[in-house]
Amino acid sequence: MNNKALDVSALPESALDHRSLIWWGNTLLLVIETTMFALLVASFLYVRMNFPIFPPVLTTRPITILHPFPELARPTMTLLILIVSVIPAILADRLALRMNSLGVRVTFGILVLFGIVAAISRFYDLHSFLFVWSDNAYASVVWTIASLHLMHIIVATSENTAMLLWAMTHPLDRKHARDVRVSAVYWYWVVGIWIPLYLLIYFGPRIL
Amino acid sequence: ALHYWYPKWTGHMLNDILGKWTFWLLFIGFNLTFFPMHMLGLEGMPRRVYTYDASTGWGTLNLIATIGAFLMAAGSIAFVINVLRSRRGQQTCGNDPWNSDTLEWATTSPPVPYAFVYQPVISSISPMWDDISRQPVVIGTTTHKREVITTTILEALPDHKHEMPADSIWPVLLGVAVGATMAGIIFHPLPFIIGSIVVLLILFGWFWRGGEPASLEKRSPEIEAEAAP
Repeated sequence: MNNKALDVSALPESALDHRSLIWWGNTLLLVIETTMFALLVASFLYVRMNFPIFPPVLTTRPITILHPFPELARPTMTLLILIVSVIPAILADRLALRMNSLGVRVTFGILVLFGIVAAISRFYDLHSFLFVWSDNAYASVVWTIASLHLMHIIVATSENTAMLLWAMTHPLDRKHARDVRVSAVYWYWVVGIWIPLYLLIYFGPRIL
Repeated sequence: ALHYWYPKWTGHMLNDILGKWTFWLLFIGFNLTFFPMHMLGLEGMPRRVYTYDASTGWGTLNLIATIGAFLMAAGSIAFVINVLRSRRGQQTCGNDPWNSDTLEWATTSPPVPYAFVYQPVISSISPMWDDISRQPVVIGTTTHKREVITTTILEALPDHKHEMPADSIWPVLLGVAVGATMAGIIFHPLPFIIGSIVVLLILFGWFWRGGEPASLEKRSPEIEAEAAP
């Protein structure tokens, strides 16, 4: 046994921020997922290059639709729901830092509700397109972007639900306070990534 | 790399002369196999065909590639013989047969699952050359759960202890569920929906921590001895 030693017994059991391994794992996962969306954006722009008329004329319907522009009002509402949902996420994030059990329960409950509403709203967004995914390459890439993001809303909301159930049944400890904060980071990403994607798939066909 | 870490992995040294034979046979064989394929490709031969017309003139280069493949086979056989030979002897190679610089050579060959009873403290990129036995060790971690020391990113100063999960059946179940879902969607879209729900439930089970007993670790005899008053 050595007389010199590095005693770590006094070190904290967890860190609530970017010093945590979980924080890095989550962030790097989001980097991977951002790459997925970047590939889909590249596909969208590549498809754009290959159609002289954009969005492509929809010939697979009983009546040919010359300009199948995506509807704007409903998806804009979904975007607003998502943007507003950042507020409970930020509050949960801050309250977790203060180890406020009750505050985290309330704000996470609201966040889960927002997630469910956003998922349902996005589901109807998908059905408000004049085209379905199998109509042409443009339709496929738009559906893939929108439904991959829907999948993220569902996954994040499921994760938040699990987190909420835990928070409801246990007093908040530092480890789970960190998990709440990491879940909030995921939600910031879900909302943040949708802003450029929304602009691309709803305004892209009108201006590109 | 295989020859380098084989002693750490098994505790046996591989024979030097046979190792050199393996290297040269594989090195020459590999280049003899694959370099002619570049030229064949430029001449228009497609990959993964087993026959072609004699008039194409690809015969000589393919013959050279075949000779190369047999040399590689000979190199591989030399390696297998080397491994079998090394298993016969009883003598082990010690912890650090290469006088190497990195930390894996500080523990026993083959290493124990926990690697170190006391985690060493490292102050350079070649800790073995800094006389590791004089380096301080980490103390103060608990034996009741798995912990790793997390350091700051740039300075590598100890920052906090991160608790690692205990043994769990859930990851295996997740693997089975994902595999079954992937196999299922070849035939029908419905398994995607069912699979997603099952996977989500399994993930819930996995993340729902707290049901485990406090200590799941089989402790090493050394740690047991330390723990005994």
